[in-house]
Amino acid sequence: MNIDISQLHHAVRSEADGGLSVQFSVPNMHCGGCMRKVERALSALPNVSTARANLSSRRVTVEWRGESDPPDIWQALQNIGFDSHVHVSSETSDSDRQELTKLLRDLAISGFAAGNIMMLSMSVWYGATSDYSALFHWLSALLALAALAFAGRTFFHSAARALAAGTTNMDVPISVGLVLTYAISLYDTIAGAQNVYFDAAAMLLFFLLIGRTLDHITRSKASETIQGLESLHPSGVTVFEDNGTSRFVPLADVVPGMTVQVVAGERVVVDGEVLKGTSEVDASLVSGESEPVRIVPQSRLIAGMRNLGNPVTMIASARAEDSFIAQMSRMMAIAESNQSRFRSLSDRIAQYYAPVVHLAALSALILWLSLGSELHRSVQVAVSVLIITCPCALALAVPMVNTIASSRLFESGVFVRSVTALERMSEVDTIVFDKTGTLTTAKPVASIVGMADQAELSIARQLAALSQHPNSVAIVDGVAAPIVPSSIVFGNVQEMPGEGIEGVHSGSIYRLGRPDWALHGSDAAGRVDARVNVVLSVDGRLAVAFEVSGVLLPDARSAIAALKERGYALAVLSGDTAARVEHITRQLEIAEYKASQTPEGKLRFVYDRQDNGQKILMIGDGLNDVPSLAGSHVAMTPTNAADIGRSRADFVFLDGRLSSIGEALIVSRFAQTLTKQNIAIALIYNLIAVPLAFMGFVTPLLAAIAMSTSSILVVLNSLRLRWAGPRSQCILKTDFSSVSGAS
Amino acid sequence: MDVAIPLLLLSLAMGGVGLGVFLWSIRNRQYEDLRGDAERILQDEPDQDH
Repeated sequence: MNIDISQLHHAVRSEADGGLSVQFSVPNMHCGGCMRKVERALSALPNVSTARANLSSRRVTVEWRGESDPPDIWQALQNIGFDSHVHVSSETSDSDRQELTKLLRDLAISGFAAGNIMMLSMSVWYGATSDYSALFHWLSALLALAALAFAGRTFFHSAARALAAGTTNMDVPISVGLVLTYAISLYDTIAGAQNVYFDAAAMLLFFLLIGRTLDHITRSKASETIQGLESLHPSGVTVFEDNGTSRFVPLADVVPGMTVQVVAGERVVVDGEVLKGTSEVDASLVSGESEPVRIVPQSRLIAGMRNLGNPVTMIASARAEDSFIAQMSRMMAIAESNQSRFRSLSDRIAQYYAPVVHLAALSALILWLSLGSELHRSVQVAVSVLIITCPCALALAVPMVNTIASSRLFESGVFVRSVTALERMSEVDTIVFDKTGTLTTAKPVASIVGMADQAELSIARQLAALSQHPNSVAIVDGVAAPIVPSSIVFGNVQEMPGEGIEGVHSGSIYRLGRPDWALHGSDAAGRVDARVNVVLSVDGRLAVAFEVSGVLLPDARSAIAALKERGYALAVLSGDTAARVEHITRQLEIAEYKASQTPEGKLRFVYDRQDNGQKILMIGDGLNDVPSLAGSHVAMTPTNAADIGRSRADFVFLDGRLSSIGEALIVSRFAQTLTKQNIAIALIYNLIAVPLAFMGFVTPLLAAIAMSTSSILVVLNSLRLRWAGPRSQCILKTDFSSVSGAS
Repeated sequence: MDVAIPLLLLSLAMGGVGLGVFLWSIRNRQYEDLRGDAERILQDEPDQDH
């Protein structure tokens, strides 16, 4: 994958000092050492004035002197072993940042007010003389007004919006409670009463805003990270005109009938058929099949395939939006609409919260009035019910856990994309894997099948060195062959696209390639193992047999074993051939697998299981997995997955680290337990405090103690997630450089 | 009473200064990269500008 120049220009920003800057997202930058390496490498580039990395968001901002071309940041990072993507900051991320600044400001103001009012109130509670307490009350009223005016707006606005739409939300009882509390306290201050609730109003605001801020940080971090990971679509293609000239047109302007060039190494962007040239394509993203497919004139090309061999020209048969990718996204949209909308625990609680609280306060008012109490006292009791039931602990219960869980997963290379993802993940009982690119490497690795003569092996390796085909590269890289005294010189070397490479040496014809081609005319052709896809033949005789395919990721075995041990049902769904799928599942000891699956077939499998009440976690990377990713209860993709799939996944994990699946499951389950405990703490607190408030026993002091105790309990309980379990360390690039293919 | 009032105002003013400094630090983007800054103080080489 390389960086699209037009996209890069789009991301460039002008700086105040006349320079230009661009942001790159570097997902593997994990520690201070990585940060240092990145900054040093980028500062050394010509024209670069500063390179500043941000370890929290895993991004680096590079500034260079204007009027010069952007430095090759991508290559520089690649050289020191970091994958990177251009980060295009969108309007949403800008407004997210502004929102966070506002929330922090409100938090500071309400915290300041709450602290000072508490100090003043304490002296009143401990018996300040009446002229002092009057002064303190007035000062408190002033501070609380400032807090309400600044920090309360978030809640007032949201409540007003809900009421205007004819509905009610959590913010309605909060707003009513805040305003009533302030009003009755102000009335009492004027009347010179002893007990006022200014401290309760300010503290409520402070605690509620903490929950709100944490929630906001989690949400914006999730959306920002993914934005940074999104690799870039090619924005255009080269088309040939009838008169033989070529021009570059935007992808959206490609219409059926146009002659489009497909450069070697690039992806096909629209469906169509080959016009000129023969080559091979990697269709793994489309069908899941790992074996390259040979294409000749008239072969069908599908958007998403990657051209491995020679450049070819094709005739487009569909527009980009009607191509295979688009069909997948339509299937995905249908799958998504079929999925019943998930209602999170906190949503379900919030639904009952407002009516119950209002009813309680109202019935307290009526009860006290009917028992012959004066209006003022009755309203005071009703307000104390509102204060006590204000959802401080409840507002912290869920965001606190979510924030800690997602930042913990972030550190171990798992990015949480949706807010309800953790909750859904905790319910999973079945895990369905795609094979190619998920369990196995996307880049092929060669292994020898059966016996091989060392001299012939060496010949195979030297013949392979003459070709750039991925299978040849795999043989050169992966097969250890003895060094032959003098290099063999092949005569008459020919590379046949889709077949293999041929050379003549000391009177014999050597062929390295597909078994049926290399062994042509020999009776050995029908007897080779089904897994063998490359052979070396000497005059048609089988010499060495290779299996060149994606191999299991290094940590697949241990990761799968760990998942099995924890009782999850496992299955593999692949578009690849049965022999290959079986080969992989046997190694992993996964009993259930289905080979040669179409995207529809995968989706049907997921539906069937979910109709039986199973909760499925689907893990896949290809376009053919996209519908089933959308249809499953939870979806997870590696970072090198097809964009469209990644944009729908609930979790994205760093390429090649299958152990992070187990980590995500453990953290989600623990997070869900903690969330439930937190909600229980908040409810128990209400069960004790509400009757007291009903009886009119709740003084401002008692309210302050009760509110802060329950909130602190909830926070401490959530922090257990931070401290429990193993901590992940800095992941060095070398750990997975060998497996992050496809880039 | 007369001693308490200036002291009270003083304490509020001091708190207010603290609040002001915090608001300034938010606006000055001091909280953008807490993890990175924590690592940076451990590095020997002098930092670049900023």
